[in-house]
Amino acid sequence: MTQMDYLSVISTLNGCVAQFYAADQYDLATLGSILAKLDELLEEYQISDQFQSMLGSFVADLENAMLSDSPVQILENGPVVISALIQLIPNALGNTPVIDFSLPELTESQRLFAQENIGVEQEKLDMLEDLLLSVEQSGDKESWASIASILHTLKGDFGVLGLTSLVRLVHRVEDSLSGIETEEKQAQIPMLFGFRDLIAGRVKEILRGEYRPCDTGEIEALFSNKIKSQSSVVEQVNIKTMGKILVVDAETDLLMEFITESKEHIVAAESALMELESNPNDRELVDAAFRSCHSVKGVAGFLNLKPVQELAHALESVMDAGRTGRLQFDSTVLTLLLEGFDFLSELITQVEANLPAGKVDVNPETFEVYRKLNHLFDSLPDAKPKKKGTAVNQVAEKTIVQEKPRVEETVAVKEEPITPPATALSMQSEMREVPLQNQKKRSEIADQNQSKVEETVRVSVQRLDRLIDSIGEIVIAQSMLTADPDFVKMKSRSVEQKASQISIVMRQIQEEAMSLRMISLKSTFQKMSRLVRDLSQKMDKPVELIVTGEDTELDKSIIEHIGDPLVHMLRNSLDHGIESQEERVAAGKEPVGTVELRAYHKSGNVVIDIVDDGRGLNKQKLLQKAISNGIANPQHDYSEQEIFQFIFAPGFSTAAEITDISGRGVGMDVVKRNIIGMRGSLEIHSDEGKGICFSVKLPLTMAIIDGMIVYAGGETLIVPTLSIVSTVNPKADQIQTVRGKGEILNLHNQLYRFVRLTDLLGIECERRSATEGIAIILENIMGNRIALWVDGILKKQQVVIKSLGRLFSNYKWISGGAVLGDGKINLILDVNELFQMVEK
Amino acid sequence: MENSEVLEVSEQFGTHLAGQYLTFVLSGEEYCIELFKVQQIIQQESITKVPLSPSFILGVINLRGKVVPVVDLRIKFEMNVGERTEKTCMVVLQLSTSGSPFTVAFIIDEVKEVTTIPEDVIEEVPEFGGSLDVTFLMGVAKINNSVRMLLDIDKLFSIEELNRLDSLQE
Repeated sequence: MTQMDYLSVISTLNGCVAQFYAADQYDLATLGSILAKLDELLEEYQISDQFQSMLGSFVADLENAMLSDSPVQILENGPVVISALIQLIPNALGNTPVIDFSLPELTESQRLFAQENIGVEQEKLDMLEDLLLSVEQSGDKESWASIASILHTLKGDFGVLGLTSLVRLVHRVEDSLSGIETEEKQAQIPMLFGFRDLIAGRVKEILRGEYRPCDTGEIEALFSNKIKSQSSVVEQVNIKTMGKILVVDAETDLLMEFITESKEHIVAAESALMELESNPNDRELVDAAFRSCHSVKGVAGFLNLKPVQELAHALESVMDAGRTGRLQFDSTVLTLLLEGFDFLSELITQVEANLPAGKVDVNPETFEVYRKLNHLFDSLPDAKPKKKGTAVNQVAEKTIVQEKPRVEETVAVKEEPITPPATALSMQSEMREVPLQNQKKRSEIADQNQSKVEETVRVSVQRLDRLIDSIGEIVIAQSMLTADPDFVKMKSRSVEQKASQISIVMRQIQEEAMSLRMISLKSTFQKMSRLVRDLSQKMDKPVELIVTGEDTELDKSIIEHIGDPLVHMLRNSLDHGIESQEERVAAGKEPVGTVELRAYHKSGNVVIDIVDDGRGLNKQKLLQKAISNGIANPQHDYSEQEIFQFIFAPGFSTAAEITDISGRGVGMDVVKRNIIGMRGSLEIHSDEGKGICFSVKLPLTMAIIDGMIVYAGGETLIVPTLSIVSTVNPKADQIQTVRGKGEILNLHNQLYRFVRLTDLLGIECERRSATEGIAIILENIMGNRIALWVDGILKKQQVVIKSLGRLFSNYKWISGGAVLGDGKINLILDVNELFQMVEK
Repeated sequence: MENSEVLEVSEQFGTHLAGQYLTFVLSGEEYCIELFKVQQIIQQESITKVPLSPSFILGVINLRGKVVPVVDLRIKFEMNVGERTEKTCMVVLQLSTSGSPFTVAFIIDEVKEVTTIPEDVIEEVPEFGGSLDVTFLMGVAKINNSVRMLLDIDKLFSIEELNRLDSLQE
């Protein structure tokens, strides 16, 4: 028998397995075709006596089953018997024959059915992840039982939806868990995480209307984790064959997210660079491109996408040189950068296209751009910029010294075969040694998950928003009615009573409607637990994460935006905050670091704290760095909070070295921006050596803000209260006119730029003396302050923000409009944009 | 008011343009827009001015909880802006230019009628189609010795046009 024969036998048998799975008990035609194939095998090949007799008896069984009323038994046994047959085939190729999992595609109607009904599986997958995180800490029997029951439900659901390949995958996972001791099950956890991610990725695809059956490669990759960790020999072989391959072994849904996000980031960076061509001196644009690139790099590093990460790093280095003034962004440099981004996006497309295969071949020749970028960076003059002071020079030198070896290192890495990520198991075992104090709490949660069945109705956000809009309208209509002069004239007590009754109910409805959009932080925190778990393994720093308040609810739009900042802050805590085990022991701390993530309500807001017990912030070092960066004034006396706020300045980093995960000082800038974008605020508390606490204060919803209603030149406008420091009625001697620079307000020896809102917005009106109006002291993200002068303040009120729509999308100084009690729209000012206008 | 006219079937310029139109008066001239694009006609509402916007964008109104921009075409096309009378009102359009739905209102001097314009009265735009830039006209309809101009409202509020407005503003 030739090798070809063996292969053809195996492929025929594999085909039969697939047919068995696809057939149902009344599907005699399929069974018939299986029978015919097996008969042919029996006659044509003489593989071994054992094989022949087993096949012969199975063929007989199959025939009998087809003649009987219900061939259910044979459908279940069939695949098992055939798998056993495959095992009997002598190993002609030196490989273990594998079961082919390829399957026929779904039909259109099946696909639609799956798309509509797959949504509920996401919850089950979240539950599974939660349970996995908990069994990883303490593998009690009950949790494992819950996992088994979730797996079983999943299998059933997938079966109903006709997702046969997933059914088989779950089945196989179930097999690998059944009949082994709890301790042995623990070793399967990495595989189970991989499994969850794979399924979650599929569910997302199906929701988008796509579906690919699981192929052999994927499934084998899932189970091979186990093999890898069991035998180092296998692992070595893997490394050898890997060569120049972009290893994509990270979790599928993380990858999918990364791909979508990166594409957005790249588009943003490209458009910023394009604009830079016409305004080469606009720092904002460089910062924007840099930030986008940094985000891509950070996540790529985390997901082990080495080539992507290195390319992004090279791009970043060149842009950084531009930021620090060592390089001019002329058109050659910009073209090179744009080419770099093109290639970056090409790489990411390749990652996407090759997700099922689990690896991507990267052609080194395409790294031309990468080489050019590094060459450009290497050729940069080390000369210090002339204009800046000595302090700045030192920093410039220091950055160059930091960067140099880094570039050489990346080049070196490029030449070598890329090493695979560290095996999961070695760290896994360390993780398990970590004691966990809230074990009990976790298993309690698991119990709740099992018993809690709450009935829900799925409603699209659009419909919900329409309902909320209508309720908003009726509230306004009602207040217009009660304010109507004719209504007031009635002076009827009973009518008034009824009207006030209506308004009470109306407010209740409005509150209830707003709460419908509220969702808990649970799944966000769950993702963070996962991130901390993965990072702590990757960095080899055992960390215990304590999560509290995950049931705290926030508006959907805020939940959607909070993930990014949390990731950056946690990454920062793990990378820079928590020390290495040795350092911790030397400092008299527990070797295991603690990171706490807690959410709670505080005076109408939700606060999320990220606390670690790491090295904390060094105030002196921060201030020095800020002074040498030119952000801080050496003469000024800064408060503790003010010093801490420096870490949010773009490009500010105290990290001595730039690592894959963080250190360029971009992350915290992103954090601050996102939080400000949600109209939240951020505080830092830190004791050096003891740790740091980031306190993020968020509004319950982005749709409502506290506003100060002001009027100026006959227009009524709304200023967000969050940006208002104080208001003052200026006295004549406090206003000074500086020639060519406008007016200055001197308030308790602090000088503020005095800006008239009417001038800023070009509202024509009679010029009045400053003493007749009110100056509002405003503060922007960077902590800069100005005095905004208006005619007067009407009142403070909570308002619902509405978008002004496409026509006004370029009017950045308006953040939206709000309908007030009179039914008229009032514009809400965007304070940060006002500052930009003032600077111009 | 006129009665609907009898339809004749023949291959000519107006075939794809025939249909129901809203006729209104803008600075003394009669214009038509396709009826299905009109969401509603409302009386004057109090308009909130948007500072720093071009003069023909009058501002925004609250249309049952939605913010809707109000445009004065008379200013945009440098026509005479007459006194506001009782007949002055706003036409709210629901457009779906470039894929996304877009609501906009514009001020007109007077609503004339809703009528079906048959294809045989629709002709190509002559070189001088009135005060309006001819690129924004789809055709002209001759009815009872009067000439009505068929506005290409999608083009008027297309992305390119809106972007042009934005650049004018800067």
